[in-house]
Amino acid sequence: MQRRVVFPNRVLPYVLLAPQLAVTVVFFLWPAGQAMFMSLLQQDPFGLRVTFVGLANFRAVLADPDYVAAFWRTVYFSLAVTALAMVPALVLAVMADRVLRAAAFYKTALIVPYAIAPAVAGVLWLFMFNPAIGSLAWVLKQLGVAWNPVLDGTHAMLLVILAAAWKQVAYNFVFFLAGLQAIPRTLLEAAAIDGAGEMRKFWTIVFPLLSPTTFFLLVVNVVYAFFDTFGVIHAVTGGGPAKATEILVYKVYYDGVHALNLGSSSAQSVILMAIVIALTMIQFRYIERRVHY
Amino acid sequence: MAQAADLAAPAPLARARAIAAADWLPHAILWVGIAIVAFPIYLTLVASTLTPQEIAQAPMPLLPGGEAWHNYRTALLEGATMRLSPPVLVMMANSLVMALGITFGKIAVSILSAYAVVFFRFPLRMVFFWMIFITLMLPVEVRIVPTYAVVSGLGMINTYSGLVVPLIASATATLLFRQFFLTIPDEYVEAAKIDGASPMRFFWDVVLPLSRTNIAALFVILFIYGWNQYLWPLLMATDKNLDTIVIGIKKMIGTGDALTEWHLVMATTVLAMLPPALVVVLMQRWFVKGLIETEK
Amino acid sequence: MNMRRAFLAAAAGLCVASAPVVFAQTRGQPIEIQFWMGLTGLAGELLTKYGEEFNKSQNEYRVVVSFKGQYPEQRAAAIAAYRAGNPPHIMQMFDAGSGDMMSAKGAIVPVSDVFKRAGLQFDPADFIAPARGYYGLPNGELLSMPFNVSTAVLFYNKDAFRRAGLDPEKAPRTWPEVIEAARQIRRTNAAACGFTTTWLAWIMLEQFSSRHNLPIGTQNNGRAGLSAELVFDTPLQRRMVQTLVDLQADKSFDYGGRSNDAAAKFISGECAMMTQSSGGHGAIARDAKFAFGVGPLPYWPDVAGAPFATTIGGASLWVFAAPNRTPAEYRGVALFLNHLRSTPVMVDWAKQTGFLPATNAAFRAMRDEGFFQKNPGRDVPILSLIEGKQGDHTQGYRFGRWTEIRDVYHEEVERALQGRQPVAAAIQNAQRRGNELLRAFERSVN
Repeated sequence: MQRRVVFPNRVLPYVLLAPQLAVTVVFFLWPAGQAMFMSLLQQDPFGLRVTFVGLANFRAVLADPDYVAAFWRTVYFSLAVTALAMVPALVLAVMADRVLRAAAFYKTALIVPYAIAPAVAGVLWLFMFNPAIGSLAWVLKQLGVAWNPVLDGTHAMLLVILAAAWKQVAYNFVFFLAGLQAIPRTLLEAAAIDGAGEMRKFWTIVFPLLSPTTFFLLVVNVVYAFFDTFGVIHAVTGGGPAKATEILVYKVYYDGVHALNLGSSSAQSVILMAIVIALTMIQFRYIERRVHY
Repeated sequence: MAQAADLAAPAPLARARAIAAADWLPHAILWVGIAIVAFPIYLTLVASTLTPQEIAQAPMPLLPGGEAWHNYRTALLEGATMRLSPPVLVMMANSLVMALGITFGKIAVSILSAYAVVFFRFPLRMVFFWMIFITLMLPVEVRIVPTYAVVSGLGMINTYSGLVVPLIASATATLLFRQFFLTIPDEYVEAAKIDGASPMRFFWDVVLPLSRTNIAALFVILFIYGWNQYLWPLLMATDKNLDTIVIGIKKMIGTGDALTEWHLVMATTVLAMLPPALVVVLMQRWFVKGLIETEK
Repeated sequence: MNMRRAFLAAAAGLCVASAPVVFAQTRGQPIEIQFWMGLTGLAGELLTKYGEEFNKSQNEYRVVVSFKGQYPEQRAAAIAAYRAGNPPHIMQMFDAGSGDMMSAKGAIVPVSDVFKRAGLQFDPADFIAPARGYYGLPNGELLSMPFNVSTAVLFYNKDAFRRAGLDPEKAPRTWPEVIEAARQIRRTNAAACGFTTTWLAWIMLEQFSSRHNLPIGTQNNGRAGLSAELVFDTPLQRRMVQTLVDLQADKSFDYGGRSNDAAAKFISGECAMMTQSSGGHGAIARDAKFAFGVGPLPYWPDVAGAPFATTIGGASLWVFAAPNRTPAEYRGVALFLNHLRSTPVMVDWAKQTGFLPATNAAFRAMRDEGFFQKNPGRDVPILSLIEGKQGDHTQGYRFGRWTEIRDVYHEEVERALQGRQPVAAAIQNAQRRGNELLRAFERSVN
């Protein structure tokens, strides 16, 4: 899309663009290029000995059972977070769309967690489920569950999934509610006159009309679970126990920053970039469609 | 919302009664939802008013205790005993600098670049546009090590500028402004040209005032984004005096040698949640708009 | 709101925020020496204090002591700073990082050299023997300066022992005794858990191997060459981990995380015994609300010759090389290190923290003033580290990427503790994956 009428100027647009471009080149493009370059090198932590190894780092990463395990773990984690964050949000949005009284209150109460940092959300859940002092851990103990996220990988995974999903419900709620409110009332009224029950109305009219929003949220939530949950993992489990909660982003961080294995970490960065690009493409293809609808 | 009430139903009174009867279920579900969503926050609030001993004996009380003043005062002015991080007041100031720096920095650089892309024709225009667009696909999480190296090479480790500047390029904000600018009627530009107004005058007098709502919406989203940053300050600020409050909380838990001082952690957590939560609640209208618009 | 003013304010704010911070180095100012430490709490406060003392004692140099994260994080930050050409002058690095540091020739300056260049007298023989062996070169020169020296010991809760009907004045000496005490504690419910351990790999693999004179790897535990292979998959190592797995079932043992986190379980009274670094003594003395005792690291009595000496842990101080460093800066480094190793500082440090004195002179000074008689338990680490029986494999080890290998060991043993794999597989996997890391390390430095 273009404007018909523009200002004639040779220098000004470049000046206006300069700050954004400078930051983009220095902090985005250059490091991304560096990551690609470093993914082809092998070096010691101090950078004293550097050798070009071609695609050896990629081969090593993809052949590493730990990496493959981390990949499937990330998929599993993302799907769980997405489902847990979307389904309750949809139910709550449908309900909030239906009520007249106190609607503003419900909305406000439900969107506040959006403001909470993932890492802080993690700490809240860590506290509730702390085996020694947590209130919910106590309840579990009364129910006879030997709750121990420090040692039990499944427990740890459950904990980070809950914390990550809890925070994201608010976001999905806002979008579902906006989507619901965009549905023409007359359609629903007509269905009501035809005698359709609430459930039928939902599945035959509301849900199909909501599907663009649902699909969009699906992508956004997967991206969130892939990347933005780093804080939850780092603050709550540190990827443990025994890598039970190590997702791809955490592995890049650990291998690069802690193990100082720069070649492998960079190769993993490049693979992650490919994943983000794919997800962004999916998201934008969809948005293009929505815009031209 | 209001439009539902405006609907002319066939038999207003009967329908209202039917609604009232069927009304309890959505309310009940919403209350359950709120209870689940709010419980972790409530528990945190309660814990921040208890003594460490009260918290330590599971199950902790579910009603607030009398230590609120003491806990918040200690957290704000002294911090946890281990002194891994400065007092919360300092960390909140750091978070505020970072959040506001990122917010205004992003808004400023992206409104300018969007203005250039939309209101001018010049060689390489689309190349630049795509360069900005591509940043969407390069979150810091995928370029951790090289970005750290660049920032370290520029001597920006442990500086406020290092915390802020690398994060102020934003494709989303640029795209939002671009979309909005495309809707500004051509007549405005024509009129400005006829009046002999310079492009910058047009920017100041017309475009900026018109962008007010968009800026407010972006403010909410970006403030939360900036306040809640984690990985970046974790890498960048190894000097504890630059710790943001979110990083500080992480450092207060599981420090090994000593017991985690949960009463202080919880008070700090409440303080960490407060500013972004206030922004969301008080600017809710712009928040919802911003959230939905930036994702277009 | 006036948009225009707001915008201007924002732009101005941005400029201020992005203005590079310039550290003015004006004439006559003392030369700054950056010292990065990896300790917090009491120990960190003391190090800061020593820096201030040094600064007050002269006006040529100013030491800046800062905490940049726990050892691994700090090491990462320092290496990144090194690559950017501006590392700290001195870095405190824990035992496990030594192998990597030693192979980074060109990035570090051996402390012996630092002292020599500054014209200060420096005799490696001033340091206690285990530290010399661990941080030294074959020719006797020291690569880094030993500072906080520790070894593994057993702490136990005397009150819990009393409740369980055990003798509170007698620390369990052997693993069978520990197991029996732990079971007794659980039977009588004297504590929620029998025993726990911090630093799993350091204690249950490294210290354990030394205590029973078993090699961790070939090539004289890695000291004789980079081609060393790990050989810790032994029946005894398997027996030890199997014991932990078995006891975990009824919380006679309770795993408390990888690093130092389990210390909280002991300090809070949850666990009645803990194997831990002797350097943790100060924190326990300060925070525990019960009487506690110290015993040497337990051993298996059926192993021929056991118990042998435990090995050294803790950290040493490394001096970084950088292209723009001046001789004056190195002199400042040497003077500050000289201050840290002086007997009064070493004695104060050891007394307050529970670390061992790193120099023979400080050790003698403490002994002569009767410190160990007055503070029962504080001699335990010395007896097991310095005066314990030495064997072929009690002098420590030197492997590259050891911090990662420790994590590999943690992961595999955690999996065994979770019941997700048998102990034999855990030890086998840890050894195999550790060897892979050693080979990768060998490739990267050759």
